Amino acid sequence: MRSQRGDRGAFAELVTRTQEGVYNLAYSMLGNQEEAEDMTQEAYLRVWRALPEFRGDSKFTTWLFRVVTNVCLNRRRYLRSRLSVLDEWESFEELAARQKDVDAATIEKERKLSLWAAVAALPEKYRMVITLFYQQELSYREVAEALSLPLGTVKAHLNRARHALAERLKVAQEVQNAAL
Amino acid sequence: MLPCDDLQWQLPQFVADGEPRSPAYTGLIRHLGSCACCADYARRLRMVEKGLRGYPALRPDPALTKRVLEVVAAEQRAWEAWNPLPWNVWLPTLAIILALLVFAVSLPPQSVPVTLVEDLEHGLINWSVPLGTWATSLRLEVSTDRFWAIWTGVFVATAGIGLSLGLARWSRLNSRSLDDLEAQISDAVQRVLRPSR
Repeated sequence: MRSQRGDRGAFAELVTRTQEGVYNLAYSMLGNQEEAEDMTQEAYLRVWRALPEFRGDSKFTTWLFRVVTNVCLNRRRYLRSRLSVLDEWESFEELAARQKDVDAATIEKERKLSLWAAVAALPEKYRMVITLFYQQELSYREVAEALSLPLGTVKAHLNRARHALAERLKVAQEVQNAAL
Repeated sequence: MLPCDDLQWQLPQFVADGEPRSPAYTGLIRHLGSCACCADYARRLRMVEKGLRGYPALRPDPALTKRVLEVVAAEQRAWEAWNPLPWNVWLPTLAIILALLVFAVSLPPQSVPVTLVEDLEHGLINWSVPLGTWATSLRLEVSTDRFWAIWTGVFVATAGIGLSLGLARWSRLNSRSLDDLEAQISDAVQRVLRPSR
């Protein structure tokens, strides 16, 4: 791996390919875009320092996500002791609306947007597994490795998250029916 | 008939796995056909699953890549300025040089031409007065056996530690490939030849 030998060009390519996933995982843990960007930067710096020690026992992205998780956990501990930044979750509808491919005109899209907003309201441990499993398309085993969790815990988190989202969908539909 | 409460925890996995028709789910599938409440729950889970499959990734600021690479470049510059050679190169080298130096000055006087010793001492004094003075005093001290034994022991041990650290590094590098090692040595040589970079 050229990046391991200090090739900055190769590292730049690696950053370009992986930064969206890193940023989204950081965002799922911190809920703030600026914080997520800062921690993305910090995570890559740590990865750069530790690259010569990376032995390839696991997939590179799995190792990268584990670094991101640790960086964000430390940052969150620091922030919790000082500010309440983490409670200021940005509206996922607003963020999603900024994406090029979102067309909020259709009902289907609206339903998806409200579902994604519901994901943002889930506890952090569920948001993290959803981000890695659905968004970054990691396998159950890779999610477990990235978050240093047992495989069974990852599956349980995902199932509880699915259950919670289905319940929220039920409540939303009941509210919608009552309004009609 | 399976109780609905049990199904609540089986259904999410069943739907996420693509509703497989395996024998393990026979009871569950039969129950879904007869329980409107669970069928409705399964319908909502399918919607959740479909929605999550398209869960969008937020796009970071395009300037983020540049920021990351700038920080890494600054880190690398700082590291190279502070440490022009990797430790696994300079540490064993230093240890070996020191051990050789001690070996050279510890040789019995009759085995080394006097003129060579004097030339070396003058050369050292011309290059660095403190180092030359130290070498001269060391040569004079070496005449006693105990001194020779202690210093040889210290420097051979240092060389040994240095070599073993270097070898430990070598064995870790071997887990990748010899090409990597060759490239690292070539990088180190380049850094020595062009220290200003």
